[in-house]
Amino acid sequence: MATDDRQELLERELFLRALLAAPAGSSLVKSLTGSMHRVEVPKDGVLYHQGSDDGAIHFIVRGAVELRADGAAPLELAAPAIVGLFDVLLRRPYTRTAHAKTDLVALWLRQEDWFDALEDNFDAARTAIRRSGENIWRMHLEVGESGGFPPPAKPTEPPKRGLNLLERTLALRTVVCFRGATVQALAELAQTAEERFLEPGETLLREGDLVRSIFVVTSGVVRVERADGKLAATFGPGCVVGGASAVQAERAPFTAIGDAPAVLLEIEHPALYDAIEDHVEMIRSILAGTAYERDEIERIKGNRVPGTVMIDGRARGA
Amino acid sequence: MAGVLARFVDLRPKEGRPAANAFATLFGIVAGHTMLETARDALFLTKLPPRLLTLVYVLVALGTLVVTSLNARFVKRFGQRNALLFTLVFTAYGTTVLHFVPMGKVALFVLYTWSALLGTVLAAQCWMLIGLSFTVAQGKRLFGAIASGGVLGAVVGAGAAAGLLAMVPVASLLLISSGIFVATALFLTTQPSEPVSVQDDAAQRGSRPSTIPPSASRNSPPGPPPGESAWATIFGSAYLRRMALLTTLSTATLLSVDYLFKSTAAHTVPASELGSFFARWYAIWNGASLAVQLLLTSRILRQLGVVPALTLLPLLLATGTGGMLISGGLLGLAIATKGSDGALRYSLHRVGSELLWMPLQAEVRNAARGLLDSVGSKAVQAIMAALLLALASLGLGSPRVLAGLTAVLAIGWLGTTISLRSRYLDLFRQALSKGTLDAAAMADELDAASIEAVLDALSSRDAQRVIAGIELLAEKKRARLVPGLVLYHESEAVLLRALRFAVEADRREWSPLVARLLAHALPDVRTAAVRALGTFGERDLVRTALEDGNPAVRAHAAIALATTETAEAPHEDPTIRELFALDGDRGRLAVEALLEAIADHPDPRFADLLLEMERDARPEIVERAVRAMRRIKDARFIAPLVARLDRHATRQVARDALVAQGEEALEALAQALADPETPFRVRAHLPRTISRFGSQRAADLLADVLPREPSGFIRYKALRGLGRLAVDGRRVDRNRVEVELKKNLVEHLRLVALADPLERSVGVELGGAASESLSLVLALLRDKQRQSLERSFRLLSILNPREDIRGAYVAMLSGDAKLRAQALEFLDALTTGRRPTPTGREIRELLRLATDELSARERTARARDFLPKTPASHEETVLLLIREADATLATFAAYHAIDVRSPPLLGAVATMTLARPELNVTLPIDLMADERVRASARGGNRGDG
Repeated sequence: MATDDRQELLERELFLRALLAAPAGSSLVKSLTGSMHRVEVPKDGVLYHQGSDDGAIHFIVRGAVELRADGAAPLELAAPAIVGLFDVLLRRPYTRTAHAKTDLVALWLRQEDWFDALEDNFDAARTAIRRSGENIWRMHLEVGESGGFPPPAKPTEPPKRGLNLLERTLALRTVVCFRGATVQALAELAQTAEERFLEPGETLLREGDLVRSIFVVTSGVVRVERADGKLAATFGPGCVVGGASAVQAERAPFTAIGDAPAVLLEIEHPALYDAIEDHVEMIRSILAGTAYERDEIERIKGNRVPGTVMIDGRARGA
Repeated sequence: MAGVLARFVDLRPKEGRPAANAFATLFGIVAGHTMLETARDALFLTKLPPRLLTLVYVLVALGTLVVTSLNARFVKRFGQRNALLFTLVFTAYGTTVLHFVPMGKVALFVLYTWSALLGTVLAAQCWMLIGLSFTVAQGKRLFGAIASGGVLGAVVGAGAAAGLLAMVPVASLLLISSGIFVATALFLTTQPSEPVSVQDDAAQRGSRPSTIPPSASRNSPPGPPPGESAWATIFGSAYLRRMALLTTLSTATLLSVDYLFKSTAAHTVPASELGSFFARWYAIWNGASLAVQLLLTSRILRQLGVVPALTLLPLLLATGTGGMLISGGLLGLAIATKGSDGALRYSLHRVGSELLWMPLQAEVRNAARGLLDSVGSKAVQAIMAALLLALASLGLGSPRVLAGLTAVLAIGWLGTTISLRSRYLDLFRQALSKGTLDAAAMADELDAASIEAVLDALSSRDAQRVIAGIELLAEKKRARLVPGLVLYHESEAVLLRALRFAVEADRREWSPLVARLLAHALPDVRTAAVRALGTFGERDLVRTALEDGNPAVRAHAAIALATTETAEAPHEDPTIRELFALDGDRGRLAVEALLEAIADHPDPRFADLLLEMERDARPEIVERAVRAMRRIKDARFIAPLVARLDRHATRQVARDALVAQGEEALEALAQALADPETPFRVRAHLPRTISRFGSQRAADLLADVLPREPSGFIRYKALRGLGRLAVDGRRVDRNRVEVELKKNLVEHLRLVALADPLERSVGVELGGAASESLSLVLALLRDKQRQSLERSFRLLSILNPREDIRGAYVAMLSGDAKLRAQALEFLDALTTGRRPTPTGREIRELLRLATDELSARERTARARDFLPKTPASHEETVLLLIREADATLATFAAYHAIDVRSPPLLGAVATMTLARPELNVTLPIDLMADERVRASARGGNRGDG
């Protein structure tokens, strides 16, 4: 192997280890390192254009990039950063143009290789889900009392009998963070889910309690509030109580109470994580759910152009 | 008509018009040029002696040099279609002018050179235009038919010229050929100026996933740097260098074959019969050429692949001339050899050669091809002609000598063609490239520059960068390079990692620096410091930590001291017992720390304690107990560790611990996998655990799973594991993988066949609930189709661990038709194999059926030989699905049947509820009471036997 190539691989490895905080011995870094393309963009050049779509994620290794779009404040990011991931997750063209503010070195990675690597490194997948959940939850608390959650649709009457497998699967399919999952994966979740009935005023979760499940509303309404008054939102059919970030919460960050007679599907975390480990597209689907909620929050905040960035939290302009 | 056409050409939707346009354009060009050539030859040879032809050849060769260069620039500036259009009009104009010029010696020379040059340019431009309009996959199917337009044009042009000469003077043929060129040009104006790939639906799909970055600076598909000459382009590319050699050898061989045939005929056939002899055989070979073009070219290309198909002609020529070399020049063999040329050169060989250019970028193709096809081939012809002349002059022109020379050339041609296969695949590999560098190829050694980069990372303030540097040096076995100064870093994360590293790398010379951290404010750092000092045997320093206020720090100190100072039962140590006796959170923390300390000081005397802790109700304790089991080898750990695989919280550490237990654990995993009583949640995670052993035995165990495991999910996990092991160089039983691959491809096609009638019933009035359940059934079928195809590609990866099959799969799903076609051709060339097994041949056919651009109905129809009876209607399909082995699919189909409420379907559901109670499908009571349903159910039961 040529010295230049060895040097390049080493740089990539150092960069990825630092950025992803991959545990020692993890094959994540190794599998990503060989799958990447180095891209060099001179100052004032363009890494990618708004509206283009090559289905790839860009890791900014050196330099700074400014993400621009009409109707949105520019976002400046310096290495180390990941850009374009949310667009990839939501299967859409880039929503901003990435201009090089300085001479730029980036690593280009096709999305399939990213998700393959996550499938083979379940801990890394869990970390990605946890981090994006924590980030989005912080954003929900910052956006106002509604948390940026859309108001629930008109409450539906709870069914007179229990839900069969098909109805449960259909219900799960309407949940934003499961929309990208395969029917097979959802059917497996539906089989393990327990049906819960919640009367108005009945408490489902208390703030600070250990959480061992997520709750999907299939009918009725669940109200969620926090003692500090930062959140008072309602969740109806097609919602996970607490949104996509609930899939990673270990302790309830809110109290959840029945607002109208509700039927919920309770999915225990082990069953959910088994499904995530067994079906790689679940990882993508849940990450896409958080990206979708992030877009909604951006819209509420008045940004016509949604974000395209997912970074490690240490880069400027996060 | 369409049916008749379909027997000769595999036309797909949207391809008919561009293929017909290409056919007609080629027909017009060749017909017009044939007529022009007829007039030219007649005029030249009636007015000038044949010896002057040699002078014309020189003029043509020189002219080609100029024209090729002009043509490349011209095409670049005006586009392929406009360039061809202009050339046609220009040819018509010039030919018309020549008609009116008195045919003196100069005019005849001009006419000859003119027609020869423009013939070269027009053919090249036309094929380049055709090449832009089709992908390589389409080319394999359609170029045979399109090229037959050229053969037909030659036949019609020559026939018309002969017929017209009975009515008009020879010179008038010039005007008529001009008319044909103009007509062809006019026809060309009806075609789009910028040809687009006829299947390019990227815009409609709204997505264009790529396999390489648009701005990648390395390993992009080959393209000439700006300003680079065509010669530099050719010599800078391994593929083009071979193409140049191929052109040289094929041109020389074909000229030599022609000369050999004619000289043998001249020696054998009486001079008076030569005319009729040549006429008869040329007519036969032209007919054969047309037949091969129409009937065989596409089939041979699709069956053999492009490169193997191109070996046929040189192989036949080498065999024929070899026979002549032995026999001394039999006329029969000369006829057979020349017949191979006549039948294949303008059919199979022409089309195959065109396809060899297709994977290249248009600008490379234009530049290199122009040079090789014109200048290159003309120069080779001139040199070869001179060589033959020299041989004849030296008295060495006997058939045996010529046959020997030709055989050598043909063998060289054959060898070059065979060697082209890997380069041809390389072009697709580059287009579908996964990454730029092979990470696996990076050995453990670090050169000076690399070490400098890592040391730079270690001096960073960024904690993650320092940690990355430490881990990298540890993994590359250069732990001694990590400086002790990292223990002065301000970040807790760095200190914790550095202290752990100190233990792993046995850096006991760091003890004084570590001792400093016993007074650190953070208990985690103090704990880590005690762990390190305990491992280094610094008992006095460790003993000071027994006074620490934090139970975790005390626990580590106690274990470290107990393992080194207690002779019998270290867990009976009073400090340890005291720590175990703590309750609440402090107690939990103490036990966690004790277990971590046991992991640091692995001692078989703790085995019983670990087994007890592994059964603890607190998950944090269990996890640490399992983690500690990784460090102590004890066969009693294996069974609980295997059982722990069913829980995601401990799965990873249990896997690590099992691997640490070694071969005994691997055999236990094999037994658990073979045992049908093993709970599914455990079995599901056995294949990946087995793959973690990384040994040949692990690969063999996983290969055993493929033929016998009933669960598709577990087979999938086994093949994922096998994939990793194959990449790491483990041998895999190819036969088993091929059988599984075939099974998955057939399953994919079966699912396509099942989904098709349901897809067609979408939108038909079924009622709200039925439409909703139908959408779910269809979504599940589509998921399964995708899944079986993806698994097929993963199996292909196992068979070809060094190829980027994943890249081909991604390309197959992309909206870019050219990329998809490149992926198809890559897979086709790859699966051709040198010695394909019968299953391998079936796989190639199935893979083509699964991935080709076809409608679901057409795909199903073509796959019928591989499939059981396929359903034709919605009802037939639902009936089949209700009986599916897959529980989810059968359940959803049953609920859909209930929503549809048709008696035969309800009858099938009623039967199913009895036969498969585990599916929990219940038929509503009102429907159960319906006599028609009951009758249908009875019929179904009888039908089921």
